[in-house]
Amino acid sequence: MDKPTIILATSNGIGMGHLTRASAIASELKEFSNPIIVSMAAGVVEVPKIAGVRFEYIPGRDRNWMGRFQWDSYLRDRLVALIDETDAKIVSFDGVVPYPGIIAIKSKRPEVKLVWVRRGFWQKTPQKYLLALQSRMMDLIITPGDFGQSYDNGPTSKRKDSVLVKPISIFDSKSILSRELARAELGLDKNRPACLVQLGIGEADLNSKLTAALSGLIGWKDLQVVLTKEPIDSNGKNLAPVGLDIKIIRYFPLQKHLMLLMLRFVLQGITVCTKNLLQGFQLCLFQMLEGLIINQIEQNGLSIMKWH
Amino acid sequence: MALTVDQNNLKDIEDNAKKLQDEVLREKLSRNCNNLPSTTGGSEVAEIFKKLLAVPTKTGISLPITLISLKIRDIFARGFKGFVYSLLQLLTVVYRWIKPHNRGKVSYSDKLEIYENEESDVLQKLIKSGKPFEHLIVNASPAYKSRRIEIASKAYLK
Repeated sequence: MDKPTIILATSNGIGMGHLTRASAIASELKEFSNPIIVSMAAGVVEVPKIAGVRFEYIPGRDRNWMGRFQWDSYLRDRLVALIDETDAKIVSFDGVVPYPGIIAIKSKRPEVKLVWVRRGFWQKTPQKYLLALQSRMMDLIITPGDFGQSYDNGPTSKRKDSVLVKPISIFDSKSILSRELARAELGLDKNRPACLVQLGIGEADLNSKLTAALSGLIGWKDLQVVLTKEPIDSNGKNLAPVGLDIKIIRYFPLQKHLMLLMLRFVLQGITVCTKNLLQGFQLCLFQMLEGLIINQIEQNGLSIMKWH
Repeated sequence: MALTVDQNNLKDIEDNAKKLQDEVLREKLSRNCNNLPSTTGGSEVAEIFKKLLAVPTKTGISLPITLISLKIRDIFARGFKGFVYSLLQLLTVVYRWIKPHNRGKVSYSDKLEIYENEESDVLQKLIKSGKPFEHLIVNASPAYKSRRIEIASKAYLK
């Protein structure tokens, strides 16, 4: 008997959180089904590397290829066409809020099960007023766990309509490279300390935070500072202070190199690094979080950094 | 323990980043990471999906009926607060009806480009180009291709 198809759709978030989560789930689904990832994130091109499954890119609404209402219909029609093509039994959506085009699948193909992977840490924005409606339209809601879960006081935290699972990560201890191999592959000196600074670039406030974080690293003997993006603003101005040896690594996913686990604390859209971070690899990852979250982590005796 | 940073305070960020130069502190932070629980959510979700495949689909989900029932609940079952929320929602809907969000200029296309492969470099270029194109799963059927052309033509062709 053919394996059933499961479509994993993701929105286009600030980072790679939704897509990474969908990829991690897809990897686990392969044993008994044919997962297909459809995403509005440009990072979808990396899916074969992470999950090794078929995928499609769907333009997000923000691309302005069409009007807003046309986009809703376009999204619905594309997903319905893919359901018909693959005889999919489940459509799972990982995104902050399911678009009307996602919910409308039900009106066209009521036999298909709709799942919402709804992460917590919602902010108290007007979006919360549609939460009950959106949740009711789903066959199932899954909440991916978070280390700060018990401190989530957002609109979803009191709801009883979802299944809570442990944190989802693409980290796989079996695929970890040794420190030597990882460094060789990334082109880093094998003896000098290295520090990965992975902060957002784009908005003015993010840019100044990156500069501040990098400034704190000046004076660290022999340090290699690793960034995943060029530290330049929209006008081409360099955000990195003088006196640092900066290396840009464009590689995704970095997990097998860094023995790195990442989860999203979506309250701020900022990545928190967790257990096994940077094991076997002398890198450090510096993250800025809202004080509240850090305090919560502290209370749990956890750390946001790990060195070896 | 963890380093705490007020992300709105640039001096605080710089000072805490500086602390990372201390090897003893780094070791201490490192040890705490071992206390974190496992991240096996992916396999849990896979198990849930496996069971879901065998369960009959929820029927009778109707958007208008659900919306109306939730509205009635908001207005009558949540007291004065619920009533005020509903009123505010209504006002917001009316306001946005009259003055919709500015969504930027839509640039309709005059031709349809189709890409049926998974080469990341090519796909990346297409995505970055900003020009509309349709990406299809590999080994798609002719019927699917033709349906996709139909959908895209309706959505954004001039």
